[in-house]
Amino acid sequence: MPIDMMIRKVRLHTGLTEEDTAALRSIVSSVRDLGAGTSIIQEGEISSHCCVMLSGFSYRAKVSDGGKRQILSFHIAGDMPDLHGMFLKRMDHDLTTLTQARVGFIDHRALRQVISLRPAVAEALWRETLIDAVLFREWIVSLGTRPAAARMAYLVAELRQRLAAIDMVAEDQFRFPVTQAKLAEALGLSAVHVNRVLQSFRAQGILDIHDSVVTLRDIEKIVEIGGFNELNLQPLESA
Amino acid sequence: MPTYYFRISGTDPFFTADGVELSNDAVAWEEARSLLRDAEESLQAGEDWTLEVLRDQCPLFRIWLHSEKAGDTLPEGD
Repeated sequence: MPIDMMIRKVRLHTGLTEEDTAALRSIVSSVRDLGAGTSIIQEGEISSHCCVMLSGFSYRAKVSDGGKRQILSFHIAGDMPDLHGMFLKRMDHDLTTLTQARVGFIDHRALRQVISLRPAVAEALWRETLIDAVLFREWIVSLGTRPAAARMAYLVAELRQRLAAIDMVAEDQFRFPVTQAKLAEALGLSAVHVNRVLQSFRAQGILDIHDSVVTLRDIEKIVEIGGFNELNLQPLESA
Repeated sequence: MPTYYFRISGTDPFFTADGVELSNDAVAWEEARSLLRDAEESLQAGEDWTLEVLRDQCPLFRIWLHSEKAGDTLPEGD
């Protein structure tokens, strides 16, 4: 998908003028095609660019002292997962591709320049980081209070809403090339427990994950089990 | 890497038909302990929950959880 079309889909462009959008497009200094499992930036590194996901999936994660990885979030086309790097220079977590991915890079200095001239862009970027935080809060509730099946259901429901917003859900199916091991790292469960939950969901005709495709067979049940409330991600109309 | 199989017996049985490749027995034991969460979430008072871990076909570990509720008939000899 040409970079222009993808950039239009970037959520932060909601409410931005054509001029603002063009200014952002102009500072994407490079676009790279990365293989699955490629580190975009690692914990401890100093970041000099923000990236924008143009296609594919990525994830943020931290590895505990004990060597256990916790995935913090998944990212899809249109997301800018490391905006905070502009102000918090040293990364506090890893950003890695989950699948093959096309990633655009925006130099921090160029972005700062655009922000200083265009307050609407600054607001939009700020909004992006706040939306990030909404998702983090839900993940905290998931990890702290939801049983295994509910954690899985919540994740699927969240991904479905986010992917539907960029037209990547068709007939209640979407591509999500994730292994059970990676799901385990995201959901704070053992891989075998993930296997058990998925077997159970398949047997009950609720959900199926097979060959990189997630099929939501019973959306109402998934939403109910996951305790999912439609995410309020759209900005209010400006006053 | 050896292939390990996990079987949960009890009210809601489960078996990893295709097995799981894990580095070694120590990792398989960690997986077994993590699976206690399943009992934590589902065990009803008076029910039992058993987890068996096999390496290829050989039993390797077993975890038994037995629960009792006062007022239920206890088995002879207890």
